[in-house]
Amino acid sequence: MVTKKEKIVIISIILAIAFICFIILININQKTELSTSSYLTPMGTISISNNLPKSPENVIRYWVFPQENDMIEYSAPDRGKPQRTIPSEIEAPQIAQKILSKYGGLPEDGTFGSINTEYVYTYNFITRQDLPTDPISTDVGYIRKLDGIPVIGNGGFIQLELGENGKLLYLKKIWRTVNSSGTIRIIPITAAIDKLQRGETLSDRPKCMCELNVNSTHLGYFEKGYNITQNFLDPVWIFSGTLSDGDSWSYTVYAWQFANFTITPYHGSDPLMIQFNDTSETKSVKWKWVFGDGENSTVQNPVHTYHISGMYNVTFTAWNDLGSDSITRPVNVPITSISLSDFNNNANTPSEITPAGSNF
Amino acid sequence: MKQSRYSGHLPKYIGLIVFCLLTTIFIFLPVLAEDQTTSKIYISISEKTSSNKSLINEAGQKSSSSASASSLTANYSKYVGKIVQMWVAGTNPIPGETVLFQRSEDGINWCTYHTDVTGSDGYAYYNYTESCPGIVYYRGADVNGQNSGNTISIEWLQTDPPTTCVPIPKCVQKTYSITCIENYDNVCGGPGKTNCSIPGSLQECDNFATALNNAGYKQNFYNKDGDVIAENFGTDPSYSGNTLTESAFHYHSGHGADAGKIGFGLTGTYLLLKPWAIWSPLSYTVSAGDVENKWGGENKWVMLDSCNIFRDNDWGQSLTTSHGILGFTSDSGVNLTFPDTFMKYALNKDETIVGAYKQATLDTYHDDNVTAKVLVKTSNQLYNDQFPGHGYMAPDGDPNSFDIKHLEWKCRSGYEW
Repeated sequence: MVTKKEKIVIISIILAIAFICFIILININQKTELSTSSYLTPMGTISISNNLPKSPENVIRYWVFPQENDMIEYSAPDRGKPQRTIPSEIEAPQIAQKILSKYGGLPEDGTFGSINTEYVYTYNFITRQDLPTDPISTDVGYIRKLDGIPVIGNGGFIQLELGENGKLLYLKKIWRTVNSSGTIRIIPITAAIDKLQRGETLSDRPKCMCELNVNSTHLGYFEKGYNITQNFLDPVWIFSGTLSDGDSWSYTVYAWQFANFTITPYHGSDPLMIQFNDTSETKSVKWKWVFGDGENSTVQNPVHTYHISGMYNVTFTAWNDLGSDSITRPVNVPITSISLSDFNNNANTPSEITPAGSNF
Repeated sequence: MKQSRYSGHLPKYIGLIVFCLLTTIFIFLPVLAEDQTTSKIYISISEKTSSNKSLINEAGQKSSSSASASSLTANYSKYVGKIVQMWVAGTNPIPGETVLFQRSEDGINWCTYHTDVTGSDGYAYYNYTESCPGIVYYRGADVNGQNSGNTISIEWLQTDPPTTCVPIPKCVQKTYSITCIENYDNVCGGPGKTNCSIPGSLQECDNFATALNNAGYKQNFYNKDGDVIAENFGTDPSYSGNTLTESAFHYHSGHGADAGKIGFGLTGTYLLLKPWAIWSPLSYTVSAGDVENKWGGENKWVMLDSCNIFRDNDWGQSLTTSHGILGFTSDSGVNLTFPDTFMKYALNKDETIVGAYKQATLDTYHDDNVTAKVLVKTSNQLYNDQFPGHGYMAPDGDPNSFDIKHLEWKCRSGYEW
């Protein structure tokens, strides 16, 4: 028989345990919310740390000067065939450097990237033995960093495959001549996450039903390929992390903040027509205007009519061949106080129709 | 009037000039014309002995040659069981030029056995034995199997006592099939996680189909999304519909999974079909066990463009007379340029199929953390097979063997984030 005093003790213990559990759950929940945010994107679920590094506002933009030797490729007839021996992972970088000296050497902005040995294995289904049989090559990779920022895409790398006695089996070097052309603005990491959420990436989703836990973000320069016309190396944000299947993966988001526009009062007093002009810093190929009054346009330089005075947030999105950029500005439209004659007299600096806080 | 000082001598030499011109035209022009036909190819067949005694040494030429074709056609009768050596040479052999040896048992359907003029001597060889009686036709052709040369036919006669007939391996036809899944619109990743589709997967498959069609390959079937079923992978020998064993090359794109990462104590790797759902992880899948000893027939190579599949070597147990499987140990991504890149190396540059796959994956994924892998039945297939129906194809492996070969490589040049 449980006494009344014992009952009180038991209930107190249960309540205390429940309270502790409640506190722990709240803490876990808060901790989770504070540390990461999850996004359902066209590439599946992506979790990104909320403690992102502060984004730089500008980076150097690099001008590309096409040269005949932008790409060097050599392949020996016995590439991919079994070798008697292959260099060790300690020997291979030295051999690679020596070979590279015949091809202009490792460029100043080049850095060691990776080393791997390749063997053909023989696997037996009964014994489950998996034994290396034929050595194939020792592969050495170099990557390029401009001002500390890696070049990604189809360029800015050197691949070598070394065979017996350090023989060069394969070499591929794509290294374009570049020069600084000044600085450009880049989108903040938060804007890059917005793009990622929309699935606007330069890389594609993996063919697994995986969630990506992004654990680092980096800036990079994107190279399209040595045989593709590219006047500049443009910046990208790289979101890297671990997939739920244990592998690494990364998504690349175009980072140049190039979109810009001007407005010019065009015609009328009530309603009022306004000329919007794309003044982006690059040649854009697609446009979207959201005028803030429920109307949209997809032409490059639209004329839009506002029927009611007020403050409108105009969002302009432009696309070039690598991606998009958006800019939103509030535009004050006091229709009743403006007339056509006012615009004609002072068309470039309208006194009332101004994009608030803009620097046209 | 001033007269040219040479005009008076011209009539005296006109006959000599005309003679020289005519001599030049009739003697040297044919030589020059022959020089221009730099792709001229001869095929000879001889008995391979210690003295290389020639049984037949007859030339067949590519039809692009300016020489008369019909005069070189020849027919012979020989006894079976001799080692036959076919070789190619030309008056102006071009090292690296691709040529094809072709063999036919009916003079209509031709099978390709070797390619490539190698070395500066311009020779390439192919040795084998005809051990079955009957008429066999031989000729050369260009890289696409077009512009075929003249035909040499040999009626192979039975010896006394009879030689055991071992048929030449069945010809690898230029055929392909595709299974492609982009839309996993069933609730595949659990509640609230419905974005499981693979944007661009169908386009990637279309690009493969286009590249193969352009290279003259015949499409046997191309199943998409919900039409892709396990039986397409040859899981059920009694299935009468389309299976990958009907085609020399099969390409598959879709989700793959390492069961160990799904949980529930599962092991192995799986291809996931469109209706797959997390709460029934073994339904609508294809595993290595499902296709064990099932891949042969017309098939020689399969590409499984899905994540993680080759974490499980048991996929190699599928190979009976099929030669190999191309795939990934790591994750793989959609890449619309990959099909063209791969086919460029495999068909235009005449790499081996493994060499073409390696280079295409390096080009495509060099800044990703991708590890590619191939599983093959024999070393010869690994090192020498060219794209099915396009060039050299090693003999089939022993279907009863429990050994496979495998090779993997990291595509990344070195970015460590």
